[in-house]
Amino acid sequence: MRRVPDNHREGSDEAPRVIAGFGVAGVIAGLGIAALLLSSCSTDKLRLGTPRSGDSWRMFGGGPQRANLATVPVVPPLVRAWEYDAGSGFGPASVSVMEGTLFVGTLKGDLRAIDLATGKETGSVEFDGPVFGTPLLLGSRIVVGLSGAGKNLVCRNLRTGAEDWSVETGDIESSPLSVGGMIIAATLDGVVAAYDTTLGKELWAYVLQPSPGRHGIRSSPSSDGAVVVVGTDGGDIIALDLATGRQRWKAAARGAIFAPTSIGGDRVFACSLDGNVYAIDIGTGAVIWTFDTGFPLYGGAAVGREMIVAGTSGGGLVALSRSDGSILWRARTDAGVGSAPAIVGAFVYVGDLERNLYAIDAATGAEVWREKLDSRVRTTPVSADGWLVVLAEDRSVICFTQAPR
Amino acid sequence: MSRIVICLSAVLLLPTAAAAQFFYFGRNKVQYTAFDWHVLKTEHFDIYYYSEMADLAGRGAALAEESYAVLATKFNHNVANRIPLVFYSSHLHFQQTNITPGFIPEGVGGFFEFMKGRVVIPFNGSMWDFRHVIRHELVHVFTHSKINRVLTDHRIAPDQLPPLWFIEGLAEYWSIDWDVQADMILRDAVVSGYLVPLASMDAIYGSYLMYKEGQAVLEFIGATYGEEKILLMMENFWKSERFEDVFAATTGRAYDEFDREWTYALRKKYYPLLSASDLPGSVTAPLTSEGFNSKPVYHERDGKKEIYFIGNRSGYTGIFRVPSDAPGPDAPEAELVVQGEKFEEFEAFHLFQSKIDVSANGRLAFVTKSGENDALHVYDLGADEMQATYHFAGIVVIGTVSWSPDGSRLAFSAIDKSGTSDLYAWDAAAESLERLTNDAYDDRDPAWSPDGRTIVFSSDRTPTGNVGSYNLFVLDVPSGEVRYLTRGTESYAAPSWSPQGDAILFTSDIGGVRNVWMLKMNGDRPYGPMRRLTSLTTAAFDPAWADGKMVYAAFEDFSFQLRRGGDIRTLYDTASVSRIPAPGSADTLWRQPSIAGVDELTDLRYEKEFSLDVAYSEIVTDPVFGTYGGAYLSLSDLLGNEQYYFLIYNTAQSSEDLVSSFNVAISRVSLERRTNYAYGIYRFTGRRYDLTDPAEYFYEKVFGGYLTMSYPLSTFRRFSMRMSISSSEKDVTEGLLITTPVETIDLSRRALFLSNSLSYTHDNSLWGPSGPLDGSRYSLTLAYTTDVRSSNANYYSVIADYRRYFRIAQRSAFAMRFWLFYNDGTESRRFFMGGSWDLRGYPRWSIRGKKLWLISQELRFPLMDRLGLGFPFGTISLRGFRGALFFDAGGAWDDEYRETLGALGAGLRLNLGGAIILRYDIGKRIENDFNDFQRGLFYQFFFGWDF
Repeated sequence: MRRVPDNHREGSDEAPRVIAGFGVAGVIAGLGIAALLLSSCSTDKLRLGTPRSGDSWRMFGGGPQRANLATVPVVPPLVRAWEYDAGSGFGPASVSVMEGTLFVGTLKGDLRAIDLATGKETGSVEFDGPVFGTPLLLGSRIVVGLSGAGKNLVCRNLRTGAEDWSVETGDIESSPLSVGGMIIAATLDGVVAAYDTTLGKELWAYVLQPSPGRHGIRSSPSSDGAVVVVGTDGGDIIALDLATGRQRWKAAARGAIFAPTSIGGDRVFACSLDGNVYAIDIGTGAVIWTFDTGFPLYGGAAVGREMIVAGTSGGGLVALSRSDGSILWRARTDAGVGSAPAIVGAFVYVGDLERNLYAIDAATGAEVWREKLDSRVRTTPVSADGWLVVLAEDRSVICFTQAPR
Repeated sequence: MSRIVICLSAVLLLPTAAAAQFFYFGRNKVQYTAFDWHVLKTEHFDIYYYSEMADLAGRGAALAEESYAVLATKFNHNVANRIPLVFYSSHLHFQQTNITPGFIPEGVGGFFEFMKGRVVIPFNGSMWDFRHVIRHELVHVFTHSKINRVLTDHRIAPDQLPPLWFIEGLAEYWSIDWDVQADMILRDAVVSGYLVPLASMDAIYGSYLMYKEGQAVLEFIGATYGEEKILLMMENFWKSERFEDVFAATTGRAYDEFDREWTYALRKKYYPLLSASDLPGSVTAPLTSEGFNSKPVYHERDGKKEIYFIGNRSGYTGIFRVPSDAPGPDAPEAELVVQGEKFEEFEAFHLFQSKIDVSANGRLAFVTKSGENDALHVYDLGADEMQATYHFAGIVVIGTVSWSPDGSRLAFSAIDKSGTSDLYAWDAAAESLERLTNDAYDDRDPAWSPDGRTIVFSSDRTPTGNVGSYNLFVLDVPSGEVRYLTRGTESYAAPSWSPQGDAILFTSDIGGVRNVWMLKMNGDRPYGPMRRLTSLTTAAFDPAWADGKMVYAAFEDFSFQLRRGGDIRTLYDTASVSRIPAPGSADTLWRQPSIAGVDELTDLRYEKEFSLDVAYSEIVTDPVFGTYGGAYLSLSDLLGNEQYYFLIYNTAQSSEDLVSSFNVAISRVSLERRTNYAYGIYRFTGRRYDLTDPAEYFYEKVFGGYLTMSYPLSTFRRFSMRMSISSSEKDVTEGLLITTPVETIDLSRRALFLSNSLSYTHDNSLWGPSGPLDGSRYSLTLAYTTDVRSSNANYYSVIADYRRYFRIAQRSAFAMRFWLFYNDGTESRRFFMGGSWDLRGYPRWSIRGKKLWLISQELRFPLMDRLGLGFPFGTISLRGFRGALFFDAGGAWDDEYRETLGALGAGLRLNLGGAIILRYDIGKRIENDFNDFQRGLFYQFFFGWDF
């Protein structure tokens, strides 16, 4: 019995309630002041816009390794270029970008295509369930994972908006992965499966051992091209053979893993709700080092050449040496960080629950710039074509660009 | 707040004055204290406090910010808006708040009001409790914000919350560790067999048991499936309107599956305790069996050995006594000594807070709320009369009292207006009050030693006091020196000296269960180990010496009853569990950090800023009155002291009538001071009918203003007055007179009414599920209305209403009511009656007259407490079936008395969730001037409380 979304919106989640009442005598025929707060936002199925050439961020993390690393610099200070109202809230993932068009899925269950240069909507399509993860871009097609829908992995044609294929997988609340000509998706039922990109045919599936309340997967899988690595609600980090889906190894964290795993070189990095960052040998599953941040880690990490950076729910960023987990620097934020930061050139960008977007010097951890937004930032900033895009919790897609110098 | 709001509603919605006749009872929420409000602004909070408690507000601010940081991490969320946090330095002050209009019972530790997101919390002397309540209420704030966020993100109207067991269970789970008290409740529930499974949690909706079971459920989920599952339940709240589905989607368990796991785990945990401990009822004799009972004290009077205690067996809390040596397995009959909660002097007893004491010469000292603050009373048991009542300037709440051995002084713990809880000694003869301790620590339960030199008390002035530990301390009265008597990280409370002064009984939760312990004393020094005298599965409280035997209050079967244990010395000699007390100097203390206002910008005087409470609008099409529409809204300041009400609607039936058909009312209500008042102006126009004669329709245009004031003498009594002046133009509506005899029609007239009324109202009634069961209610109103313009109307009114309730048994009562309503003069209004609320068996409001009398008598008794109806989708519980046998008689007339009417019969009442009472009556009318019974029976179905 799924809840049915409506068009109700309040300006703030703590706004006083306004009661619309109706008389009981006679025919009820009116609306009250509450109606002033309602907004209409129906989305028709439209063709998506025409892509242009440019930088790409085709899946969560920017690539199969989920490194959240962009080499094209976006140098602070930044200014807002545009802001787009997506109509409803966002899951914990971010946008994807391809050829000058930005794609964002919403929790109402639609996908918006937005021109990266202007912020104008170029198309939208609706799905049967919320889109939690980052849309996966595959050439002329786009793949989204859905929760609470009959068919949870859906591939649509980018030109027409028409469905190419869809698969019943179980609820997906993570970001699908494209690697080695396959699509990898993980479900709340504890299944990791590989699908053919052309027809959506299941190639292999790995099923976690049933364990009530602990066998779901919310963590987005990552891959180095040989193995698929995924964290589980039960606190395991599991590596599967990309070709066969067979388990290569399993490592155990002390708490659940909701955050996407990331891969850098020969190491897997997993952030756990137990507060630890785990560095694991991708070949053997051996834990090389751990670092206790002291707070649950809901978001993942950004992985640079020498360091990884993670934000904690207690507030602040910590940058660790990839090799031994030693602290390189710490940076303060005003509130908890619920998403992975992004390393963009020489800066680390991250948002916090106190509505700030920060630019941190990646070498020193010094705060270089910050901007107060209208609502919380719970997703990873994405950089493409010199723009920086963040999703704010009040359903805004906000695009920044470098301030004129 | 008195009844002004209700009166105002009557003014706004029912201009016909006689309609207010049903709304004038109710107790008063008295604003005794004039608070000087300030605002302390911290990073996330606006903290409202009054000047006397500035230090406490700073400490509370630190606790609030500490909790905010913890909860932001647990919820992975923050609260976007600043949180208004209103502190009171005592529960008695908290009970005066206008942020909620209702009465606040003693057991309410704070509340979160979600309309404006206000959190209101009193201090009770304990910083640990303060921390707990602040965090508990902030969990509510975060939960509300988080759920709203989740639903809004999914574009679902944020108008739902998880079930109350989850809301309150979570607030406990994330505000305090599983503690001795929580474990006591669950142990008892499991071992005594009243644990309610999750699937049936509705059966204990809103109860403290539900809080603790909810906490236990979430503890189990956290331990078994991971604490993140609790967060996920909120994240998944969008998935279904049925929380059971959300629960299953998150944990992988349906309620019944979960219940099997959870209850089995609890049984495995608690059943083994029975091998090493006992339920109180299995090892001790009962001294009480009804209601809740606590704070026993022993006294011999005229050779009779008696236990005096505080109990609420009748619904009113008072002091009772029972023989301490009563034989037999059943509890002896308790005798009422001091009737509480019916009169101003003893407005409220603190059932679990204030121990009583009896001096050697038979003077009973006890504490009640009496007016603004607590008062200390002395009652002469020999003469069976009150001897003295003492009010102390600056002292708000009084806790435990203890006589000095010579009966000349009384030691007590008390909280002053700053919130500081200290010990005092009162010398009645010298009229001298001495403050024995003066610090930020919570000093409780003083017990004066038989040699008069020392006072033993319980306090959190111990290194682990900041996490809820209380130890026993010795205060040397002459020097004021304080030393440790016990030293531990547990909680020690309720010390009681042996009559010889060589030992102390007290309770401690050493080992996780609160039991009675004893420590031998050599003067003011401990002698030998302390030993555990009881080994209970549940808990013991307030031990007392009773002629060598032990008496204490025990928790069992979700009730507090007095139990009589064995010989104390024998129990000590045979005790197997002991501990060395480790006395010493009280030099290692703790201090609660404080956030103080750093400058004038962060610490401000409170200024009223008004914000929206309710906005309501409607367009209604009615077959009689046509189409009309309008809006109603109300504003109030953050503390709820000042309120504005605006009503505007239009009854125009054509465009030409638009301007002339506006109806407007504006009112201001002030609840800030003891005298509440409201005033406003209004203009009403349109077609209407008179409730006293609904067959008559007319057009009326009326405008005017009113002023109403209410002065509460106490919780139970008040004077109120109302003045109004209104210009009325009345015209008969054409086409609606077909059924109305011409001679009864009010002809068109214009008048300028000046109306004044004065009322005296008393209400100390005690309510059951369907209506009052004890006490009395009465009201007398005198009113005079005159047309000062043209003397078209000129009449006076007398309204007398008397209701009395005689308790027959615990839940049965005989109720009687007498009405005399009298209007006389030109154009005096008619009263009306008939129907389920007054003269039963007759059509509603069918009996009308300018004079009216009524007598009702009713026997009220319980039929069924709970009926569960099972459906495929779950069980619906109906609670509170009550029965009634009734007899009514009355009559109404204008100029000449017409006839006496009556009815008798039986009725059934069903309480639907505490707000709506369904009523079904069967009976016979007594007709023909009380000469004939009705042929057949009448059947009436309606709603509403019993009179």
